[in-house]
Amino acid sequence: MTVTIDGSAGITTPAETVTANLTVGGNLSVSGTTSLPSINVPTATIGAATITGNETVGGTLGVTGATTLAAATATSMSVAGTPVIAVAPGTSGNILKSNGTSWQSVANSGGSVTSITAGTGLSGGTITTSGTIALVTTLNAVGTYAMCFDVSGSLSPGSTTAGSNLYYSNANGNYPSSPQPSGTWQCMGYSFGSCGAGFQVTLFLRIA
Amino acid sequence: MPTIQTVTDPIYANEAGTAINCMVKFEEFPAPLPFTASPNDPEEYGRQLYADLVAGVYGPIAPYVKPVPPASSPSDAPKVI
Repeated sequence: MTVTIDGSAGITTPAETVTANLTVGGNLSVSGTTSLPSINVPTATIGAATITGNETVGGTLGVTGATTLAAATATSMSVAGTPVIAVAPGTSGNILKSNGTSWQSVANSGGSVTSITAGTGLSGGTITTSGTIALVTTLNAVGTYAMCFDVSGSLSPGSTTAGSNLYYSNANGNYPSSPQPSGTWQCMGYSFGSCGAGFQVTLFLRIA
Repeated sequence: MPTIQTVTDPIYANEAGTAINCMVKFEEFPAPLPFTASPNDPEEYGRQLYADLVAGVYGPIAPYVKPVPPASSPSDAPKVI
């Protein structure tokens, strides 16, 4: 049976029970308290509504336009097909870390490096938080090179000599008598005393 | 800064006594190294070693011995400027 109600003129019915299918061709306005135990609405548009009780959306809920949820509780939610999960923040300083399956709040304890010490020829000392490592450029400092005349005249690469055996020199073997280096120097070339002054000049590295 | 383990054979490195040669065993090196200690060393441990040597911490300091220059032809002799 099909019942057609033309509501344009306004209809007030004290109480009606529709036991068969009801098709509403136009707008349906309901005032007062209404109880619908079960209703199937293929498409619904809500202009301005306030839901004060619990509502369950079994299918997809599409929302267009700007939407504000003052307070909402969702047991599960997805964004663009990706599940959104709730992760408790954990201890202060924690970070989010994936275990390949889910996200967890874990302590921020990444790498194993706790300090870096600048080695020979580098300035900066021991750095534990932040700092600068740079080349040492102070004359005669450990880690620096010098072109020197070797008075012993008998050194080969890798051999060591005291600073007092060296004079800062040019390539021809000309040098002032002072200053002289201090410390321990490693020969980085050859010093041949039997071949002449220029052959006793080579490069040296201060190692201690 | 290298760590000094032992210091031996101190000897003045010049007539003025402004530098001292010695053999120093550093913890960072396997064998003792020839070292010239000087009060003008830019390295603090070098200046401290010179002060300790002068103070006699490592024993008496032998007098300066002028080195013998290596054999070379006169025309190629070192030219001090």
